[in-house]
Amino acid sequence: MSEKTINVSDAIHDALVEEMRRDPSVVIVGESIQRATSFGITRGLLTEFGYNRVWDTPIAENAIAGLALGAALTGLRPVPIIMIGDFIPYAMEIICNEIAKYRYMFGGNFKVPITIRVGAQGAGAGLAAQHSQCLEAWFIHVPGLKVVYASTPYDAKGLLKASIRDDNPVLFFEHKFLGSITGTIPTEDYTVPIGVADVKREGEDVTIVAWAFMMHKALNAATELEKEGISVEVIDPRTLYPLDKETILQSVKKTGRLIIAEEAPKTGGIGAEISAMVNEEGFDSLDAPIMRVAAPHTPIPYSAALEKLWIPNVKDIINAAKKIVT
Amino acid sequence: MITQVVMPMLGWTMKEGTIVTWLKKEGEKVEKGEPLLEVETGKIVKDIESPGTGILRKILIPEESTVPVSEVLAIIAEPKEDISTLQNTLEKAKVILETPQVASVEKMESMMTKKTTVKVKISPVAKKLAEKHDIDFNRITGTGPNGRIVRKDILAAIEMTKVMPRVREVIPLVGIRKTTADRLSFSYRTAVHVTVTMVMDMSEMVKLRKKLLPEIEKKKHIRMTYTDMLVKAVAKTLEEYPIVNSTLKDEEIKILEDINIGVAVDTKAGLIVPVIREANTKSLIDIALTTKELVEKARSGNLALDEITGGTFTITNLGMFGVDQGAPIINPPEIGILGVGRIAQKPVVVDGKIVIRPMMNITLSFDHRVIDGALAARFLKTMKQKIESPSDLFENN
Repeated sequence: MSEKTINVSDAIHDALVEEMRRDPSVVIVGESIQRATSFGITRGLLTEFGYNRVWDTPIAENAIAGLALGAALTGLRPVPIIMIGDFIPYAMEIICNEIAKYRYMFGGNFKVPITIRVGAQGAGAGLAAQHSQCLEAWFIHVPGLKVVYASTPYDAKGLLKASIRDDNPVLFFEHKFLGSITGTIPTEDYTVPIGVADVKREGEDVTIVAWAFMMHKALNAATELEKEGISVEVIDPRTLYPLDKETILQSVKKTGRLIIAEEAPKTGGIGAEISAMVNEEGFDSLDAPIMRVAAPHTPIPYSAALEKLWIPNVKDIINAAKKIVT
Repeated sequence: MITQVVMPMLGWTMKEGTIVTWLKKEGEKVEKGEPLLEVETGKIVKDIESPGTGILRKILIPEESTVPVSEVLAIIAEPKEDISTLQNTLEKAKVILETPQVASVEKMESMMTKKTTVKVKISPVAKKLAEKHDIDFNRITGTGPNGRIVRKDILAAIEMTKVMPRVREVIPLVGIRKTTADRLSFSYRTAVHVTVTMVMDMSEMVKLRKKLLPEIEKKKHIRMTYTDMLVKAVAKTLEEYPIVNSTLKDEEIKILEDINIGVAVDTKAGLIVPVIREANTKSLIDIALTTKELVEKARSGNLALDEITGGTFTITNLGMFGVDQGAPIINPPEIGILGVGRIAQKPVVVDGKIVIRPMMNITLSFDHRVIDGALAARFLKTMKQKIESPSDLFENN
């Protein structure tokens, strides 16, 4: 099996191209994707697949989602992109009340094979409160939606392919700072199954669950902590719903300690969900209180200094670990 | 009105008592004078009456706990009455008293016993592990954040206990066992024990008993024992050696007027020593009757406190179990105890001939601080004379 080095953006590009070649029902929908002005991910797709499969839309997230739903109901397999994920609230009605519930409410007579790419998540680029959020937590609360979030090129390509091939709606989250992160992937076709976590680093003393950009911060923290004799296991859930509970519980059984690190306000976050799950299903494994590393409950500041202060960082993870590993 | 139930003083010597049973539950109504709990002290069990009328609001001391006299055991109050202040004060005082402070060796042993008293901080996995390995985490100092006991601490404790034998059962040292342990270890630490043994020819005693038995059995419907006869013999001997009938306490040797013989009795609950008062003045039949009554009471747990106190000298007879000889521990504050062995047919030399005689060892343990070896020997010699020519002793039964 041959491999190649690639970054996350290109891995997503490749996944789109390969899936569109593989399945003529795959169409992509979004703002300015024909010219690929934003992040360049959809470059070359118009040339190869034409206007019938690469649809530009107005700046109207609700229209993008609605269009995708209609297309899916007619038998297509749309991959809409919400370019700036912060504006997904415009499409909430379509996503949460229609896309999520259609298959259920029509007794399974319709399939809704939509993969909604939620783009440009994350703070740190000085883009202020409306262009910097990580909103994945909103969607795990909605039955009918799957939520995936890749942190590496391998996972990004494999998960996007699996999402596109899934007959149910999937939200595929993308982070601003992950695009340029590189890694190796096979040149052959592969998928990463939805609902399966990945142990990114094995360790003995504490489990850190982190995804997306925070996963990389967790790995950096693990390297630092190792110097101080603390052995860290880093788990990337990759799918936030349905969560791979077993991998997390097994890890906590081994380490007895759990930290969940996420780049969003702590209240009502994914960390709260994972913490509660481990408390319910893995209490007897715990040797210390579960810790959450997350952002403050405030809008993301525009001031660069304050924004830096707001974003949970490697040091925060290290401090949390030291607090519970004695 | 709030009434505090306290550990009563059931006798002048009582320092602490053990709660055997609470006869009422928390929340139950109690009347003044109604039996409220059972307390054990100095080997007897007594019902304690409720000191007030109301609701038994809070039991502060659980069953099987031993506490000093006048310690508050429970609170009786009206249903809605606020007892929180009193309760808090009492419970705080209790926690301070019970906070464990143990040295390393004790720690190892005590960690293997299980009894929860104070609330401890412990992580879930550590707690589960401790329970699985029967580790008493109350005795462990946690090394986790805020002193929480964590898995590491339990693993260390398990390592420590690996050198210790496995525990089958843990019996709290309370009640009779505790009294026995306290008194005898006090005796062993303080009294200078010296033991002398003398062999007695029991031929005449055996003959005499054979003669008297049917008579006494017919008259009093009891079977006189050798112990009864020995009680009389030792009581009479003590008349001649007043110094042996004494106590040593607080730098004072007190020679006692009364000769009260304690007889060690084995009961299900443990060793009890009922006392036969003025045994030297009692007839053999009286001694037999009294002993029988006391032994029965001891075995059924019905002895009164005054029936087990005031002894001046003790006899312990293990002959019926086939024991030849033993060195008993003095029952303080007494200064002497007689250990009686079995009567065995033995070859002995009498007038240059080997004959078979029923022989018995009598062992005197005495406190050398009070009497010397020669006196102890003379005491045994006198006793031997009495036993070997017993007709005088039991002239009037």
